[in-house]
Amino acid sequence: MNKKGTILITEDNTANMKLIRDVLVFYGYEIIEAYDGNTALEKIKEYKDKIDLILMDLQLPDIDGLEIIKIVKSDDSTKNLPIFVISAYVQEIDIKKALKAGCNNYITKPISLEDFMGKINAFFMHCITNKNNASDNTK
Amino acid sequence: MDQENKLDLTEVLNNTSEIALFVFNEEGNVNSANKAALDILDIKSDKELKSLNIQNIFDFRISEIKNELVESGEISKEINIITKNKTFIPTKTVFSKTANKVTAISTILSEALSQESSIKKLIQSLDKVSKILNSNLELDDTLELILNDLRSIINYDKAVIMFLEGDSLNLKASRNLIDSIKQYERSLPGGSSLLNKLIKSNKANTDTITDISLNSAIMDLMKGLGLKLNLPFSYIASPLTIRETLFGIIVLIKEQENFFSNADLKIAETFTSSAAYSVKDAELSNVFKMQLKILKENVIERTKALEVIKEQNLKILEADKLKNEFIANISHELRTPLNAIIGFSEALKLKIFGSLNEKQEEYIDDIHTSGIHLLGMINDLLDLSKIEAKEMQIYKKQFTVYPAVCEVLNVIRAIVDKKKITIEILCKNKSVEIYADYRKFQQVLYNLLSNAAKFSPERDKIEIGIDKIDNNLRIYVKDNGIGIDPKYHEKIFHKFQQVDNSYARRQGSTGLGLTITKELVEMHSGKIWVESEPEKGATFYFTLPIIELDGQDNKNKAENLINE
Repeated sequence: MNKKGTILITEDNTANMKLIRDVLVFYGYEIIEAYDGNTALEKIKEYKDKIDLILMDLQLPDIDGLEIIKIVKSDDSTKNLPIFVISAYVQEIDIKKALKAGCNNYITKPISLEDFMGKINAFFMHCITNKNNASDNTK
Repeated sequence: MDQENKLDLTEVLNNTSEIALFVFNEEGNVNSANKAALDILDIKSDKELKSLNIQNIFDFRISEIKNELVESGEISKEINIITKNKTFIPTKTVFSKTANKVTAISTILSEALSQESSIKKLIQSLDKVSKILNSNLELDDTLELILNDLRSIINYDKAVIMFLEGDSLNLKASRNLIDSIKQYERSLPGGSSLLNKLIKSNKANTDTITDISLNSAIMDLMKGLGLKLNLPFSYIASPLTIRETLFGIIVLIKEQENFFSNADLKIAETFTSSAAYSVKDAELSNVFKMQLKILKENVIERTKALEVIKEQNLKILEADKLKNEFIANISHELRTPLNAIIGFSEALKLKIFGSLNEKQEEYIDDIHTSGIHLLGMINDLLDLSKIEAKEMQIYKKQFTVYPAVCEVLNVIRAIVDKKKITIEILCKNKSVEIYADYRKFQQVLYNLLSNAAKFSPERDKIEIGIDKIDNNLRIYVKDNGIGIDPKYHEKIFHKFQQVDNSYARRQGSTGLGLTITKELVEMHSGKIWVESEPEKGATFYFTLPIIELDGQDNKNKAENLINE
């Protein structure tokens, strides 16, 4: 079955990981899981060419999610990887900090599945359109 | 001729009381003397007089001047007359020798001299007193100055100044005895009667004490002060009075018999009576100083109290900060499990993993609704804590009101649809724009609508009105619910206040919704109020000023756009 895309989920809470993973798998995405920051960085390094989107929790047991965003966005080989933050931090100041660190979208917990899937699907639709446009241009 | 003159003079002198006249025979025995002479010698009878020799009367032997007297016939000498009780009285005496007798004419020097020096001393003392009076010294310093100045006029050994305070006679200053006086002896109880014994009719007095066993006021005072004096001693007790009221005493002591003269007494009295004023003055200013000190202390205490209040305020602010941090943290911590609750229940509701039976569907729906409700309460708490910490930011932008209202309707639809409530919007001008915080505007409307939906019966209608009145946008949300008694119209906007707690609780609410709504409206300089009666529904109104953009606002707008 042709997958819609590959998503790295960084989430330390098993229930939330399960929820997001299962829903995304249901909608046809391939999932890479990371339950802490170091694993996330390793997987990003390993699968950087495969990953289409990173979903990033901010509060992780080892490294602050914001730090990971900064590392990813400052490395030339990974800086183009889109990152969506999914966090229970909902204050404007938290959102601003994450946007400043370089994240591409910010989704607050608790998520509404309809809303969440809308954003994910829209993102991949956009990607596909862009890719098609790009391939059109090369033709 | 000369002799005759002298004899005539003798006659004259016989009758004066100022000048003493003695006539001696060649052996030096007294032939005759005038009355003044008898007075000086303090003898009464002629017989007594006749028993005296020139050598008994003057303090040198006549032989010493005899030769001189024989040669020149007349000699003038400053010489002492010795009285019957052996007192020496200085005189200027002119001796003149005639054939068989010697005449002595004595002017008493002592009186003249001592009077002259008394006047000098008096002038001196008045001078000193006036200096004391004009000085602006503290009481202690004034008393010291008085004792010093007195010492330069009257040669005392020891001195004390005591004040009557209440019924105690208290030592205020002293000379040459302070070390020997114990602390408890500086205050003599029952001093009032002692003082009245020492000072009679406010007059200074002097006396000599020769017998220690003598029962006198001065001895009581000395005993009271624990002072042991060598006998005999003389003292002057001089009153400190203001307008005839005795308030203290100055006692001067000399460990010699009959040391103080009447002149000393007069000087002491004059001095002390004048000094009394400066003492009182100093004492009064002492009172003022004391009051000033107390006042200063009060100020210091208040300053200290203020410091404590400031400190406590800081602590309160700190506690407030901690509270807000706690709420922010708890909000985060609660959201994480809530994410799973709401997410999984929604996943089941969406039937993405298969269908459920009716009961399961109903339960899942309840779990989801409860989760959303819990989320609402967490959001309310977070909002209120931000408002209270004044951290709630407003990001204004220009937008059209009508579409913004419609957007809220889409969000609230889930709730109202369940109760089959319809919402009607009355809006004459759908192009009205406002400059406000878009999200907070929607939050206000959402809160009012969800409130209206909560209290509306099923299948009822909620009405939204949008009007532009002068420079204000006025929006109302009208329901046909249970209504609110006018006595609660103010209260419902206060924190944790609800019309009827049990009812509100049944509806599930933090009681913060309207408080937050009011704050959000007021942050936009708007107003919010309710018109309602029980069982007749409620209409909530809010107004927001429609601000014409000026330069500053354009700038803000630009900044906000950047921020977004």
